[in-house]
Amino acid sequence: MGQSLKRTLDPGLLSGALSAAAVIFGAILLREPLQTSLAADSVEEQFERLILLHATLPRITMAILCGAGLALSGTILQQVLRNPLVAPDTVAVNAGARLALALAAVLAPGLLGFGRDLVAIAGAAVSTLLVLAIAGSRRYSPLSMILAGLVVSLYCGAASTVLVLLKDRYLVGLFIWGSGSLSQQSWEPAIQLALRLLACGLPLAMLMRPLSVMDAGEEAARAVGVPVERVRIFAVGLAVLMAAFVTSAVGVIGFIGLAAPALATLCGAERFVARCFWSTIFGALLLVVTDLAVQVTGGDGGAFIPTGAVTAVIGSPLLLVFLSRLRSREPQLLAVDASMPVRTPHPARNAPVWAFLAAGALLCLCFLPLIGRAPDGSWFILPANMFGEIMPWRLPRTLGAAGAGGLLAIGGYILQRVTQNPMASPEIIGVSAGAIMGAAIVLALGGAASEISLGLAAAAGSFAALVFVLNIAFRGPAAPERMLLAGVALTALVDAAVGVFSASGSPSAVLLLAWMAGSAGGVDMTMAASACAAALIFLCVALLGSRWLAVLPLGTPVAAGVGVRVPLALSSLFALVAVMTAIATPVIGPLTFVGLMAPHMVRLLGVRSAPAGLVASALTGAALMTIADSLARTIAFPLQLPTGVLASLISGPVLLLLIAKGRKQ
Amino acid sequence: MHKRGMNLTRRAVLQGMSLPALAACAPAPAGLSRGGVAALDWALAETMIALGEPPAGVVAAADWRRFVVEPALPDGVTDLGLQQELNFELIAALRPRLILISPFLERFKPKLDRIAPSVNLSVYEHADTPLANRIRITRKLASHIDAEHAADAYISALDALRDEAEARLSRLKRRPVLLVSFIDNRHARVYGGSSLYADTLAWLGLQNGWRKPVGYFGFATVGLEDLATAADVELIAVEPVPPDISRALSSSPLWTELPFVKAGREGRIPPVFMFGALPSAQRFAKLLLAYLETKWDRA
Repeated sequence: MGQSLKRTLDPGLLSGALSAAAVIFGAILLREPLQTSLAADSVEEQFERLILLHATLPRITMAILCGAGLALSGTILQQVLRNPLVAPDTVAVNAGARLALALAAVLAPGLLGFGRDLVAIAGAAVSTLLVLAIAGSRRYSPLSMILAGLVVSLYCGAASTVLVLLKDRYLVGLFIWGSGSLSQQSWEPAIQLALRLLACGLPLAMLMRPLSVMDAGEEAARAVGVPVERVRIFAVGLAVLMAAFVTSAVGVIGFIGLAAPALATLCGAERFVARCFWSTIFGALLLVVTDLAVQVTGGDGGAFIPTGAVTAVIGSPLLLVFLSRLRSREPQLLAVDASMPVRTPHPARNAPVWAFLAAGALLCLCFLPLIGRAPDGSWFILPANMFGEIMPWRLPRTLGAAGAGGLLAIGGYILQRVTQNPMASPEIIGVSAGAIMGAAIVLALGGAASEISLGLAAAAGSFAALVFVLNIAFRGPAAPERMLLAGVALTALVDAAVGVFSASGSPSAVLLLAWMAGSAGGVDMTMAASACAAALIFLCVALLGSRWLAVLPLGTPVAAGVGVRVPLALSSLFALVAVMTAIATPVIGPLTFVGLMAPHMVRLLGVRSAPAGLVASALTGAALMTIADSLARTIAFPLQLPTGVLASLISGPVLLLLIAKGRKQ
Repeated sequence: MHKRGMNLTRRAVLQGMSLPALAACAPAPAGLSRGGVAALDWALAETMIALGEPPAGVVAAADWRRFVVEPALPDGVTDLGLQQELNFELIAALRPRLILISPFLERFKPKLDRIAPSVNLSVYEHADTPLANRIRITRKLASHIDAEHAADAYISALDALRDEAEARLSRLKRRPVLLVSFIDNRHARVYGGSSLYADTLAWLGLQNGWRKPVGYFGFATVGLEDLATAADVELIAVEPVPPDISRALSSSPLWTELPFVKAGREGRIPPVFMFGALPSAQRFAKLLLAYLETKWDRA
């Protein structure tokens, strides 16, 4: 993995520079307390010493331990999965732990008193297993791994959001934990963490040799008798355990596990042992410097700046650095995957499929809006004479959801088709992240006076993100992969920023969460009608590009060979997806997964050709969102749930089933 | 014939949909008269209850008992759903004559105005101190529901409470009070200046132990070590508190060595709605007073 990353830094120089920074910040922070506490006589001075001894020093120690633990965890993961993009963040260790803690806080608060770390570790283990299971079908290729990680993270995030909206008053602490604060009040947590990490040392020492042999590649390792599969399982388990220990001790510290190994590689540490050594040192130094800087600059402004979010904001753009360095020589990243074959159409199967799809969509659209709950909670089917009373409230949200669902599903179909990646969806190309950022800025400035200003800000954010992502995607070859990665980096960055905003505890942050959850309640008839019209118009536009969709999956040379101007085709299609996402997001929120799920269902139904796939996806997407919206309206009555997040909660398990089924085929 | 059949169905459905609360406010034909007020913000809802004119519907009624507690939500008040995910169908079925919202719901105003006139009242205006602002909001709200006399009476009762509190506190040896909510086992919110808690504290004539700046909503999020002070303060945590906080605190030498902790000057009071209005302030004042009387020595 190191070949494509040229040695550009000197490890000694880098660690020296980081240490110097740590010493400078440390001196600023510690000078005064040290002076007073050394000459301690009065109560005040003894008190300074107390803080120095039991808060400041444990915090520095904690930063060293956490940085080292995360860096080592990231290095092991990268080695064993042969993938420079994996880290505790990108394989959803953190997201799973966060969801587990939120669930425990709401359902069984006693469990937290019993042991926060056990809950966090259980969550981390489950989410990581999920990511591995999804990516395993594609041999843990870098891109599929990171996309699976992002999808699982987003899913856990959606579930956490629902909990926060339903029970926000229990969960203030969740935001702080999610943004990683290193604040300490005693040595105990640091000692506990040190012991746990040390306990990981023995199995790590045993794995060191087989892992080192894998430097030369899996085949070579097998040839000298290394049981690669077993080593991989143990090593991943160990890495996840280390990251989960850190996470449960201080919360989510973003992207140290990605940045430190990256720096080690950039410093030319080619051998695994050297990478482990340098990355551990860099990880510890990076976190100490960041944390000291946060303490020195943070001060007493009344604002709470969690260190973990700061590292994530600094660290997530690193994915972009990798982008510029990953040349097309990186074979795994570019391989057209055989697990998503472009099969020939089955004309015989198509007729019943169409009948089924059309009937299903029609049934959903016409019948589901009629089902509702009366104020006393009883279910009833809306009689015709009450249309005038109820439909003005119900119709806009249903139509809006259907239109947005159609748009996102078309977008998802195009993305999955062009990138040949089953995890590609409008959520992860960064456009949704841009929309969130736009909405967040408006809300943080306190200007969310209307649905329209929020929608406009979201649309502006979407387009800014689109320009950014396309700009990166077309700076070199391999556009689809680069675009997905740019989207992932942007999503991580925005996630960190939202984390800081939420940790501030401002009620506006709850407003942002509610908007992100995809509330359909605010949709009016104009918005709904525009979404539906846009779905129809862009379906037609997409159909015009169906030749591109048919040819591009065959690979760039083939496509160019039959006369397709590949860059033009790709940028047009991506721009189309981004525009559709930007229109759908203000209506239904930035997270639904319908664009991920609908194309899978369409494929399983046996629809193969591009034009048919587009139409079928649009129908499926609209139907799925109508179902989600009807459920959101009724299941928790009198509470209404946010439609977007409910759709993604339903989509998750269904998606897993679809992927499992797709693997069997 | 056909038409009559339709009417019967309509009446049956409407009867099925009629609400107990609605029936109470409006004895006229089931569900058809414009009666109550939908209060989509807890601060405004609790003010209405205190003024003796409870709203017909509030948001998140199920959580009221846990976080507002007092004044108790009367029976028959309709739950209108989550504050950020309003159940418009239900609000419309309530047929309110007035809808009360906070600035956080401003974006739904155009839609709500189609159901009934909606009024936006903010308990967060920084021109005034929190309590002065809430007194103004209480009067403004009272003018919308024709309860001006009740508002006058309620506000003078508050003045009486303060006089009583002053008399009771003057018998005690006072010290500054540090008001916090524990967030998890390492962090807390500490209240100052523009928060309802801190302003009520000042209103009672007590000194706030937190001197550093706080954010827009009147609190600062801090690591527990930032609460460490050599000063002789009384630390009061507002419930709910995380289950593992006691263990974390008792294992921290920094905490156990604090002068005020050593002296046992820390404790808890039951939940008070921190974004509330005058009734929450009143509840807070009463709880604080009762707590301090059990803790502080006589002067």
